Amino acid sequence: MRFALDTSVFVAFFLRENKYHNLAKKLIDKLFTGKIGYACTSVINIAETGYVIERVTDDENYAYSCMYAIYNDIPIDIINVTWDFITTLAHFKAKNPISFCDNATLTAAYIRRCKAVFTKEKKIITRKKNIIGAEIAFIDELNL
Amino acid sequence: MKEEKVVISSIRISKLLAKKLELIAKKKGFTSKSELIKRALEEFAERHLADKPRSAEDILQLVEKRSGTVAKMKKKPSEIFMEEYLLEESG
Repeated sequence: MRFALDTSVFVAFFLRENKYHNLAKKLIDKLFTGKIGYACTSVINIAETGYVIERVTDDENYAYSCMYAIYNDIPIDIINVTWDFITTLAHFKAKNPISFCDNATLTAAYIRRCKAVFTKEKKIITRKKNIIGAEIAFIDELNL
Repeated sequence: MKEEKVVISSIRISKLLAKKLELIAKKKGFTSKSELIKRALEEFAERHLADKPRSAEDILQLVEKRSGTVAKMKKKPSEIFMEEYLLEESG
């Protein structure tokens, strides 16, 4: 199993009251135990996690600590913004009628040959057709 | 059983730090500066290995400890995620 994790997964993980929290927590636990062989996320998704958590909680300090934990503590590959990433993201954004950050998830998935994993808080994605880049999976469909 | 030992490469430190270490070694009763450095490295390694999170719950507790808060949701994240789509549609 190889996954590129979307912001929605991290947001669910860091907010204990979120309805997808337990699933996100299971997924992160499987990264620690090695039951999920590989996971990555882009630096753009880390920034999105920070701003969404700050807006949701109105707590900049908590949001900063969440970003710090993704960057430093969770055993995950951080995809930096390289030339390959920039050009792929630009092309995906031109073709896919989804947000810039959601396209960043697809770009990370494409570059690392993974499935892009979202929670259904972004189920708007399912209503958009002909999305290119990577296979999309929702966390509650992963049999965690 | 005798503990196996390895020699690690020597490091260069400032004269000032060397003096400070000598002073501490004398004060704390270490037989030499290297004994003091060995003890300091053991403590450093233990502290850093102990801090290392090993599970999702460890991460959550670490985040709560660092930020000094348990986050409360004042809005639904889905509302924030939708904003990006609404902004694009209105633009």
